[in-house]
Amino acid sequence: MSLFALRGKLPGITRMKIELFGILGILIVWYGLVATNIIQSRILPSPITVFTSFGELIAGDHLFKNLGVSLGLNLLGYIEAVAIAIPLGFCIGLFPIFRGLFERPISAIRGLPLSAVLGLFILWFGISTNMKVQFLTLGVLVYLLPVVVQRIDEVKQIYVDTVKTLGANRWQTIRKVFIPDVLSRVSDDIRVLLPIAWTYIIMAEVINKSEGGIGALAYTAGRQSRPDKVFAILAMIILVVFLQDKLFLFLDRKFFKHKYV
Amino acid sequence: METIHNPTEPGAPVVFDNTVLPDKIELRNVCQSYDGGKTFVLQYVNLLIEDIPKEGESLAICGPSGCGKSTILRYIAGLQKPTSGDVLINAKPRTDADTVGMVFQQFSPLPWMTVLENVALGLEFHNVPLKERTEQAMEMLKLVGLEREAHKYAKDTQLSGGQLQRVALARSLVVNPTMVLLDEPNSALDVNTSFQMDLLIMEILERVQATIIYVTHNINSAVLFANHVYVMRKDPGRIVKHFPVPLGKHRDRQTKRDPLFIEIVNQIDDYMNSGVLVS
Repeated sequence: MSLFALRGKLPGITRMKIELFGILGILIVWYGLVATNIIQSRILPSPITVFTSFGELIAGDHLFKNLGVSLGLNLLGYIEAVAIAIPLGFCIGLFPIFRGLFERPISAIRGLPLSAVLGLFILWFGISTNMKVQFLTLGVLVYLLPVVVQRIDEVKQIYVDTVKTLGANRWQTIRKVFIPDVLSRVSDDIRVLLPIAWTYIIMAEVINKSEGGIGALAYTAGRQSRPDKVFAILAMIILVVFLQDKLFLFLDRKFFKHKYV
Repeated sequence: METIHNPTEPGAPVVFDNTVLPDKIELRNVCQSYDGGKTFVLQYVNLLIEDIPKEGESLAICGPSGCGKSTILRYIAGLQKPTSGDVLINAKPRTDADTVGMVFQQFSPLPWMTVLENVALGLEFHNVPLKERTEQAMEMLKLVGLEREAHKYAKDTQLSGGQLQRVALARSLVVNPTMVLLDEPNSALDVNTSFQMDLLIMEILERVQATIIYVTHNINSAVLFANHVYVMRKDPGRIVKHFPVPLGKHRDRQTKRDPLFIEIVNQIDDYMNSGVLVS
């Protein structure tokens, strides 16, 4: 297998070796840049400094407790966004009355920079956890809702026609065609939105930092001129998002087995 | 069987009396147009299919691509309504209660369900209890030779194209329909699989007493399968010729060697290639 074959796929072991080589390469270049003083360590701390700062973060800054706060916000915001987006998306996608009422306003909201809404959310919900959850909900919702509608539009007409000829009524068509087909694809979209959700968590946690959270911790570390801690926190977020992605993939394989055969 | 196939000139509707005939499918002056009636896809299509008691009836519709063959099936299946004209089932306008068995050109099994669940789907819609519908679906799967695949997902990574179409056929027949509509079920299959599918369809449909309408561009398939072949032309789509196929009810692999079969195929082929089907 050529390493440069168009759209080629690497065999398992080769892929792992190349991936490992890529990560090590980045770390070596990073270390080299700092060690040779091309970039000063107060701007870019060395990988070793970043790694050692985990000890301080865990012991002194309650890294795991703050991570728990952020995961809690992430979970609550996500659940609320999905709970709104799926039924509302089905209504908009399936029934012209709802499409007429909501499609354009939602498209308009999608174009808003959400950071501009943060002040409004503070006014509406205060600076407590609830505001952060609602902010994250909105952040995920404006992306997820149009996706649900799009997935409904993408359901093949042949499936709808088939069940109609078999005698399905409207509800049976929704239950047997639209729900399984749309949910099996929206589950991928929900997974893809994870990193976006973390962006909004970090933004919201800067407000009322005393409530904690990994975003608050990163902000404070930055203010204290501790880039090593900031990098360590970013690495932790990458790890958490990676694990969440694997968890979602596991659930996807469990609930939508047909996609993997 | 009585048939009417556009005895009038293009642009002129047929005048019908109100005679009520039982067990029939009827299209009366059916038109499909767009541009507010300026352009016709189908124009004054008339077709009467009268069921032979305890035998059913089979007919095929042939014609060039885009002549509206599939659209006629969609009217009868209730998937589409004509711009004007009537689609009557047993002398009444078609309703959603008139369910049919239909096999489409594209692979239509729902890929998130197993083969067995797909075949049992129509029974589920008719509130047949789980145990009973599973038994009936398994019986139908045995008939189409797919009992070993019953618990596989009905998708193209698990089943071949021919197998997927057999799932669709089993699914359309399990509800014991009075009408079976086949919309070029072989179009995505290779020549050998296509012929095997034809033989399977014939073998199974001999056992059901249904009116069968087979849309195909393959003249051999049409003659092998149907008692009547209708030929359509396009721009606008109309039925222009009727060929009776008096080859008897039972047909099999040997039928293709029958001199009468060959003669009818040649007649239809000559007609379709004589230039009368396009304007």
